[in-house]
Amino acid sequence: MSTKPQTARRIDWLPILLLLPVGVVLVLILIWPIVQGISLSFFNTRILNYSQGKFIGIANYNFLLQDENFWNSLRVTAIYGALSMSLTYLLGLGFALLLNRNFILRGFLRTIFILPWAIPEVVAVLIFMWMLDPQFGVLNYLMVKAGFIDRPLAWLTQSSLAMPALVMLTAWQQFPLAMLILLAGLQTIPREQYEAAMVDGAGPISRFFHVTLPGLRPVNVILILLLILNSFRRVTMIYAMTRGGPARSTETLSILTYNTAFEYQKIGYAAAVGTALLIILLIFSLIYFRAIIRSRSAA
Amino acid sequence: MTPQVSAIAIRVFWFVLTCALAAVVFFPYYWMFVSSVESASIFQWPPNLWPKEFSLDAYFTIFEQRDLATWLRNTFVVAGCTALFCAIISINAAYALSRFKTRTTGLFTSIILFSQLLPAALIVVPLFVIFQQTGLYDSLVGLAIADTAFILPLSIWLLKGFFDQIPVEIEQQAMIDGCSRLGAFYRVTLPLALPGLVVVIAMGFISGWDEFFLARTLIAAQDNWVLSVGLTSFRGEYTVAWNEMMAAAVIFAMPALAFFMIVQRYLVAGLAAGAVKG
Repeated sequence: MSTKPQTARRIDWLPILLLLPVGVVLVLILIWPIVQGISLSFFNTRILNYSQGKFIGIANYNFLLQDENFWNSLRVTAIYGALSMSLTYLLGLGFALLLNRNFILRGFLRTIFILPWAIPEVVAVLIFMWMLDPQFGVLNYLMVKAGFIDRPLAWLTQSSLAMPALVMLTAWQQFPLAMLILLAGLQTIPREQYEAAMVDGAGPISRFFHVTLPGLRPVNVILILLLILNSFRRVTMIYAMTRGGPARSTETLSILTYNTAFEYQKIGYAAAVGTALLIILLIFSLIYFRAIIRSRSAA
Repeated sequence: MTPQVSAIAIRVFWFVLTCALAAVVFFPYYWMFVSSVESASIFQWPPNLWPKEFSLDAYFTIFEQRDLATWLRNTFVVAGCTALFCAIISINAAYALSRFKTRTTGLFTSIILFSQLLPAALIVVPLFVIFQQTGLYDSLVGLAIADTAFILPLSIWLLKGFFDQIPVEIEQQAMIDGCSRLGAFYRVTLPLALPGLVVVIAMGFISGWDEFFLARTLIAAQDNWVLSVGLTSFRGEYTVAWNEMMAAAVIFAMPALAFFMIVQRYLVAGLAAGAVKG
């Protein structure tokens, strides 16, 4: 501020007062629960004896390392993260390249491509459950007709098929985010670089690999990390579609945390699973913030 | 072919391809609508890709046989309260972050960014207990407070961007004319940032409207269910009447889509700026 208020030498209470409500809400709903969650992970608390949980040190974590459900969940999280990120990114990139040219109806078509992102996640889940219905599902029908599969499949009750179905839904719902970020990234690549490449005789494929992809690099790093972070934290879509099943085949760490707390009522142990997830998220977040700072100082 | 003709042919090819892919992306939406306006004819193999007989029966049936009216009302309460809380809190916080550059505001900026990365799955476990202890459990307003916390970081961030673009000199002029500091903000700056306020209200409404995970955990009584919880409760049943389910899905999706259309432009621009500039 160039003109200082009258009380310049004393503490200016106005910003503190203005920030107080958001402080209270964030502390009450986000920060205090996280602190409590971490501390609960050292207790053997269950829902029924919440106030009488006993301090058991790192016993929950010892148990965690021997719990095959935890290791399964770690593997599921990694697979889901890798597959959903890759498919979301590829769809986003493809559509961004398609939309990054001038043609009629461009704004209208862009809106169509963003629509999946605007739908409530629960609705997206319900539509896909209906489209994948083993008896009458239209996706089953179209895939049989196209020759991908030879008979309708029970996508959501077979443990080998639930993950592909979940990845399909995730990519459909999330690719608009990737597409928008990549579109913005494409627009930062100077035209002259393409013109120079064309003068050098580079064809469209060569231009893509030598101009477009290097130009997208800073955006790519941030976007890929963001997609991975989102997949680790995702709860609504997975819980509404499969609840982690069948046979724990879609039980990511987030879903295992929730199921341990509310299905098996083991709060302390759930907190330990959740804290493990938090640590993984923190590692990825640090990389994410470093990437943002680096791209900012490069710009 | 002359070069011009082949250039036109290539343009047409890309345009047709884009349209075809847009149709593929839109298909799940299409299928939701089509299934909701067909009667029992949706239970057929092969499925009818075009609706055979048009009927709105499914819409009437869900209102008669399910508690849809109650869920709809509850969802409006939660979404409305979330929008209100979100707007009141974000206006003041975003103004403070935009106009004061002190250590407190710097700290707050990092807290806000950081809190966006916390896992909801870990938060809800203690939150469930905290809500029971404080009497917020099983209350629509309590749920709205929780929803608000999750959308606040993003909405404050977006609104701060709007305030940053309004020159501080306008406020200073108003203060010379006798306005108080806050008076200048509320009477001069805030009206100029009206689009930002609309965006924040719409975002609060959408997030409260769509939310499922917190609602599933923090609400117990069926009378307090919101649409997202009510709709997913059908899935345990022996046979699902999918035409009715899709009719309910249409009713659930429409308000969210309407509000999304309002914010689309700003959200797209803000998102792009945030990702490219960091």
